[in-house]
Amino acid sequence: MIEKHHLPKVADVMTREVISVPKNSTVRQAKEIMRIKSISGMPVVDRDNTLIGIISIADIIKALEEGNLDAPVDKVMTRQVVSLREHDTVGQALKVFRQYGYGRLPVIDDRRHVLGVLTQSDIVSRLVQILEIDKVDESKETHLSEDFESYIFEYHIQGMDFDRAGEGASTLKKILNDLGIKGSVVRRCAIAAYEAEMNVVIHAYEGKMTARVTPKEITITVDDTGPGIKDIPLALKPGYSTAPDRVREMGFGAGMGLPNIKKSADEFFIESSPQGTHLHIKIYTE
Amino acid sequence: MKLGEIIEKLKLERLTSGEGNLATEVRGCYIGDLLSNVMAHAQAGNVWLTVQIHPNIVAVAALLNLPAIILVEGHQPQPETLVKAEQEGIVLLGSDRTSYDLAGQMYLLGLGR
Ligand SMILES: Nc1ncnc2c1ncn2[C@@H]1O[C@H](COP(=O)(O)OP(=O)(O)OP(=O)(O)O)[C@@H](O)[C@H]1O
Ligand SMILES: [Mg+2]
Repeated sequence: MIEKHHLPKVADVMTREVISVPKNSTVRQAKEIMRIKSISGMPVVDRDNTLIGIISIADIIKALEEGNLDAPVDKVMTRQVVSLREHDTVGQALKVFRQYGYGRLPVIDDRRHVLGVLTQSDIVSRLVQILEIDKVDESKETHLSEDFESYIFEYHIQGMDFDRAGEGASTLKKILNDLGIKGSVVRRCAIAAYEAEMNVVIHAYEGKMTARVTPKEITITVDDTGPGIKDIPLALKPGYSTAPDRVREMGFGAGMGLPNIKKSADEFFIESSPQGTHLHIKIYTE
Repeated sequence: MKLGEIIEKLKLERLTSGEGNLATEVRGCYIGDLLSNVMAHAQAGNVWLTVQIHPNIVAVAALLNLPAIILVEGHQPQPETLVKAEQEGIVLLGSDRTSYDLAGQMYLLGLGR
């Protein structure tokens, strides 16, 4: 981590995982790499990773128009490469970006070996990290905006639908974050909602999750249409599970879901009959 | 230490292309294949080591703010797992090594200590 009084250097913010292309690869191969990695350009290097050019989408389009897709990249690449050095400051790098309008710049050493690449978004995201702006520090976290009274979230859960399983909990988590609920509370809600949702997916036919969020508390209820839990005290025991083998192979069935919910909740209530299970929990925001 | 550096040091294979989380500061790892245990014990900023390959692992990682999942011992993800991971911005990694080996290396790098 860099010291506060040091100006951040290119070395602090660049991506060291460089996606580059050897000079004898074809334009077609380069195009595929860029498509798969969704990047707009790559350094072209020779055998010892020495920078000899840059291939960009513009170069590839030109090669396409000229029917040159099977030519080696060093025939169509841009040779005049603007590059950065590790010890350049971020301010200098930004100036170069502005001056030339390129999306990404290679970072090289004295012998033109490629050490990294830098994009403007790298600068922003790494600087945020360096400044630790996004560090979760609960004491400093903005307190719940009092400008909402209550927010209701409803989600339908389909039994055995493993493709969507977890989406209800994920959506609830995003809502809670947006409402400014503090991190540790969001975590407990996410755990409880996920476990309850998975229990409907695995053990029940279908169900509904409802969450009511107020500045004071989050109330989550999950109702399903059966077959119900025969022995609730037994089901609440850590390690007890009736999950079928097929589901256990996926890592479910530790028998820890209900205990996790109980541990995450400030208030916990469950009742069940063959017509369905009703789970009701509250998590306080303070 | 940042996720990108760990990927480099442990020679992990990147299975997803998103670069979003590479600058995330990693705070140790959690090893587990039982999802409810992971749910209960993995902490935000942990990298998760597992042999599970189905899409639900992405939901677990996203819910707990785990920046990356390492599929150990050469396990390959299901195609939908890759799609979900790209969507949620979770970095999916692969390695032929065991969890013990990878976690040991991370410990030696000083992570989570
Ligand atoms: N909604 C439900 N409908 C019917 N049975 C349920 C329901 N929820 C839980 N159960 C029963 O209670 C048992 C314990 O649930 P719990 O969530 O603790 O463990 P699990 O789902 O089996 O495994 P894990 O949650 O660790 O993956 C289940 O195996 C099942 O028999
Ligand atoms: Mg369960």
